[in-house]
Amino acid sequence: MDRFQEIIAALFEGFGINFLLFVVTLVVAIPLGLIIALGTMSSFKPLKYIMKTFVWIIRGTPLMLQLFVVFYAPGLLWGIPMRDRLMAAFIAFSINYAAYFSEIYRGGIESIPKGQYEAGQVLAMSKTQVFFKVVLFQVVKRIVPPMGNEIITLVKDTALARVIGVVEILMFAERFSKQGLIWPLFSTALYFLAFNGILTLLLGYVEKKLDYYKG
Amino acid sequence: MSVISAKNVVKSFGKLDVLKDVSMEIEEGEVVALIGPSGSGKSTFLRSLINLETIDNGTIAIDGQTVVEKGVYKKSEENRGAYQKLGMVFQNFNLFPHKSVLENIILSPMLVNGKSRETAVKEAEELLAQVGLSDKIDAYPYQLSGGQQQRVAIARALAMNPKVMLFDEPTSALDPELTGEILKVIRDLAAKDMTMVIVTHEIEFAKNVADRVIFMAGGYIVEEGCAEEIIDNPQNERTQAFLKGFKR
Ligand SMILES: Nc1ncnc2c1ncn2[C@@H]1O[C@H](COP(=O)(O)OP(=O)(O)O)[C@@H](O)[C@H]1O
Ligand SMILES: [Mg+2]
Repeated sequence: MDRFQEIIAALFEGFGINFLLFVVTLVVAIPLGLIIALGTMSSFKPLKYIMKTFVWIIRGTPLMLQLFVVFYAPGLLWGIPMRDRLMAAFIAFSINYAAYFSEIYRGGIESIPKGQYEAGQVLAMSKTQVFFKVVLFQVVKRIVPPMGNEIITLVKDTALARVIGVVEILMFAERFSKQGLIWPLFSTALYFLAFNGILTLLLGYVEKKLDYYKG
Repeated sequence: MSVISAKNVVKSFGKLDVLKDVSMEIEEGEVVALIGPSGSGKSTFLRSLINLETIDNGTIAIDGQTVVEKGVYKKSEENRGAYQKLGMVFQNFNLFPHKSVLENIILSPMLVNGKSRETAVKEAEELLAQVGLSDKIDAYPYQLSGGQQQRVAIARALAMNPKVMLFDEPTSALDPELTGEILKVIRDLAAKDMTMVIVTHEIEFAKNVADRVIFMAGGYIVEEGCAEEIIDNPQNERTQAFLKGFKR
């Protein structure tokens, strides 16, 4: 029984790291993605193409590779090894997810009809007022479902951090199965399922809240 | 003095010359109907007046203030006030779908003109009564018919106290049985001496409500004059051919 509690506690501790990585990634990537999206839509061509290339590279290469690059590059290139594995994971995940979010934002912003901007303009609103008072909310409603999918994926992706030695839940689970125990693997699955279950409910609630109008 | 003065306006989209040389003076209190075949540049002209399109050449003055002279625009901060004197109603209403009828109307008066919510709401209620939609104040656009949406759009434009209202085919997106309610609202505005420029295919309505009718074709004003004269007795053959299509 002691052993059981010990393992559950270890898994819980491990999942705490996954959870932390999840939260930090969202907190950084949600605003960073908007900045990148605005960059890719900029009328200043050089900025636009730099941003588009950046997004293309991030979305076109494995997150695992990006984790390695962030973790090893400082040491190999500049002789300052990255000591903080978790920090490396924060950086790689935030950049990766910001790139994905930026594409969702861009799609959402571009889906708003031109007439909405024109109506705002003829009502004497400034461009900023039109964006924040007219466009943004409509964009939010349109992007909640695709953002939800990405967020659920993020929960599962956090397990990837183990490739650069972040001590997260899967690393514990694997350690226990090497000692001959199978059930910690299933308990690990339960952690993910429970968390994603809660997120699904939460996202459903938000979608419902935003469903007071059509269009 | 004219409230709108446009001289020799020229505008093209790439290689397509849409406005070739359009001049127009609108006097205060005047109702002008702009008619003409599709693609003749009516919308582009109206949109140029309110800065939704940038003209390539020509001069436009609004209420005595020149916003663009021989194709050169004044600073946008200087022009803001002039453009604010114009209100515009679109063919597709362009209401804000996430806002209720009331919120659609009070948004800009509060945000741009700094009105208190109380004042803005009071004025919105009056405007809604004027367009016959007091009972829809808390509805959302998707809950309204096209005609009701367009009436809200008119109230929303009026809430900014424009000196001139521009209408771009306000009934074209509506089922025929709903056009009447819009035309009535416009007629009421005419009775209150609102200055209006109306692009429309409702020839009978233009004849009844407009003081002046302007016929555009191929980027030019082909013929203009007193509404009855133009519609009942057009002189130019293109006007004649166009109006024949509407033979009652
Ligand atoms: N933004 C645009 N880009 C390119 N062509 C345009 C644009 N807007 C209008 N046009 C073209 O300009 C011409 C005049 O259009 P418009 O002013 O809408 O005519 P009308 O309102 O009289 O039907 C049409 O041939 C139309 O296709
Ligand atoms: Mg048109």
